[in-house]
Amino acid sequence: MTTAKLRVEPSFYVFWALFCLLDSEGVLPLFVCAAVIHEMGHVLAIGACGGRIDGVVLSAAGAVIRQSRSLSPPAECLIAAAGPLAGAAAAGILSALHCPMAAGANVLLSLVNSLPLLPLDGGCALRSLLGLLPAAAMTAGLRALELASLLGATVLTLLGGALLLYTGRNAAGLAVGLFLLGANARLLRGSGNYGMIQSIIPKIRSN
Amino acid sequence: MEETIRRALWCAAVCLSILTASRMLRASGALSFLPESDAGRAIAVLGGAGTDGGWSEGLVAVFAPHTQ
Repeated sequence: MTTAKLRVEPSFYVFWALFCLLDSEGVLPLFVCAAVIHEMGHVLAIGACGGRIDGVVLSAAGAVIRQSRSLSPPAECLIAAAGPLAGAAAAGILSALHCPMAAGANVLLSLVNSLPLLPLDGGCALRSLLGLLPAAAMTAGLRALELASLLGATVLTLLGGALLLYTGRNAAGLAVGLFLLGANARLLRGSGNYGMIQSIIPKIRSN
Repeated sequence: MEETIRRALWCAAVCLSILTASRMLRASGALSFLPESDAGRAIAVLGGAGTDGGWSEGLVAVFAPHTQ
């Protein structure tokens, strides 16, 4: 019996359906092409760094490429950065070919993925670089990165909501923020462990 | 390998079905209660940033409140 290398979680279909419903301008296929270019960047980088792909998981958090063996922190950082870099290169080529819409989709996807928030590529690149630090500094850095990811997802959600209220349009920002919060659900459940949040909760309760 | 291809085809079929259904619903006006998107105009501005000037003003204009 063969093992499937592709796993599609139900949350992926929810994510897809939401963006299909919100896509009033019919630009979703451009983002799908940009996502394929983005993932191909990761795949090429994994091959170049001597990694081996074990499988792909599609979920609301996007596509996650699982590797069968761990690589060095710089290699992991390069693999994480390869997606946005591939998107930026594609945007440059498409712009030169006078395809502004396709170029713009690659720019937007690369910019969002470069945010230093987990589980986006920017956050993953930062996390892999933390592996170069001594153990204590790495642990502190990881906690700071997790807290920053939670706060960043919350700010994105609030900004997305404000944009929707302000313009009466553009719900995609809110959707991306909510899905980032969903992707960080594990961190969200453990958010009471963060010192900063522990200091805020008593103040909220006393009010 | 066969299982992977089968899953990929199944995923593509489901995604295409959802996309087609949402396009049909939008064409019929059943989704008129949903907010419109300016993603197309935003990516056109971002995509033209390398060739056209004033992309930041363009983005501000895209996300300005609509009066109609």
